Amino acid sequence: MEDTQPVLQKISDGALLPLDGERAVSFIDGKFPYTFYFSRLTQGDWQTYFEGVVYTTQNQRESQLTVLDMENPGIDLVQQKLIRVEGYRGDFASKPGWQAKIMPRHLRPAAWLLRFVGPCDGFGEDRPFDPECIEVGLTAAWGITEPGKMSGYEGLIHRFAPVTAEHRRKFYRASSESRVVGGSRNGKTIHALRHRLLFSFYDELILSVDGYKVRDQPLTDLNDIRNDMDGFHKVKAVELLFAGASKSADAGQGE
Amino acid sequence: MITVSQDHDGVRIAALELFEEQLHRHDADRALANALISGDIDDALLAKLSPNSSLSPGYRDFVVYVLWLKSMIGAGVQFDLTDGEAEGLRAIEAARQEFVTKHPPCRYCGYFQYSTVSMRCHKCRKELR
Repeated sequence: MEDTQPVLQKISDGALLPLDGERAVSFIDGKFPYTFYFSRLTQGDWQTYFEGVVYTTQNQRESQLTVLDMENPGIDLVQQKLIRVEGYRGDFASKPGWQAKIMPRHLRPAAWLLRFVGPCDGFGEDRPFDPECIEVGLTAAWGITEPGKMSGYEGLIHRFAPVTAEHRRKFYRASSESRVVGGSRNGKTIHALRHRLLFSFYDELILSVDGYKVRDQPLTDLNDIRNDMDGFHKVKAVELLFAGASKSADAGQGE
Repeated sequence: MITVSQDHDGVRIAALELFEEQLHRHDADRALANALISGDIDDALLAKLSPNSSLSPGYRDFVVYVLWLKSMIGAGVQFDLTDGEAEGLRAIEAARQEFVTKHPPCRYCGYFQYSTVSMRCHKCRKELR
């Protein structure tokens, strides 16, 4: 696969990420671009994805073996939500069950591009702190500029109410609630998944966002934000909030 | 299937192992630094110096969480505890007492000793007997 770095538009320049409608990802394999189109990914779709993630750790002699499988649920997500493709030869896409015929070497990058969300470098360095509002900045790939080239958005802002000690306790507890199969000593730890908690924290703590639009209007209403925000963006924003990647938390004022 | 927070004895053992590891951490760090300087470093040494628990890794995650909870409660933050958290705190206290018995603190500087029969404090070097 060739370079999949998106062409970034800055939110500070007025760009808005369209949350609704069809969603496309595109990549180049060899000489040819392949483009996948998806129906809107709902929070339920992301919930199914997260529930399929396998995260285990096991002692092996003097080392630890950690398995984090996000690939299989990602492939399932792509196959379930894919509505059409461009770039392939033949008319396979007109036959029932055509999604299952796409090779894993294309499903994997498509799934990865759907999850291309991370912290925005240097976010918030140009503004003073607001103790009542903690800002988190994301950069995300979303949509395409042309076949084979992703577009993206830099500086997507999520503003949260301050996190309390009780929030932090629930967050840490969710991370520590694990089960062990195969005995306490040599068994495999199955780590708990905390996406449900992160969704609920997002809906509880979010105050406003910048850089998103729905039905061609900027996303401003709080209920609309809770209902329309992409589930993966919710999880990433709350993870950053708790990781201390926000401005206030960096200053030791995250709680 | 074991729910880690319900396996109180496992939590106690994991906590004790964590305390022991902390006690020997300075030695491990020094040995690693010496090996890096001398260039005499290999996988076997790294494995020997790496944190090692006899229990599945989920136990340590839970102990670290309960230690955080304990520090918050110690600072005056109030929480309604679940059964697993309360038992976790008790298991950690039991591990701490066991650790103190095996590694009595120096009566001068409070540093935990490697054994009950140490003649001299490992930190302040004062005679203990």
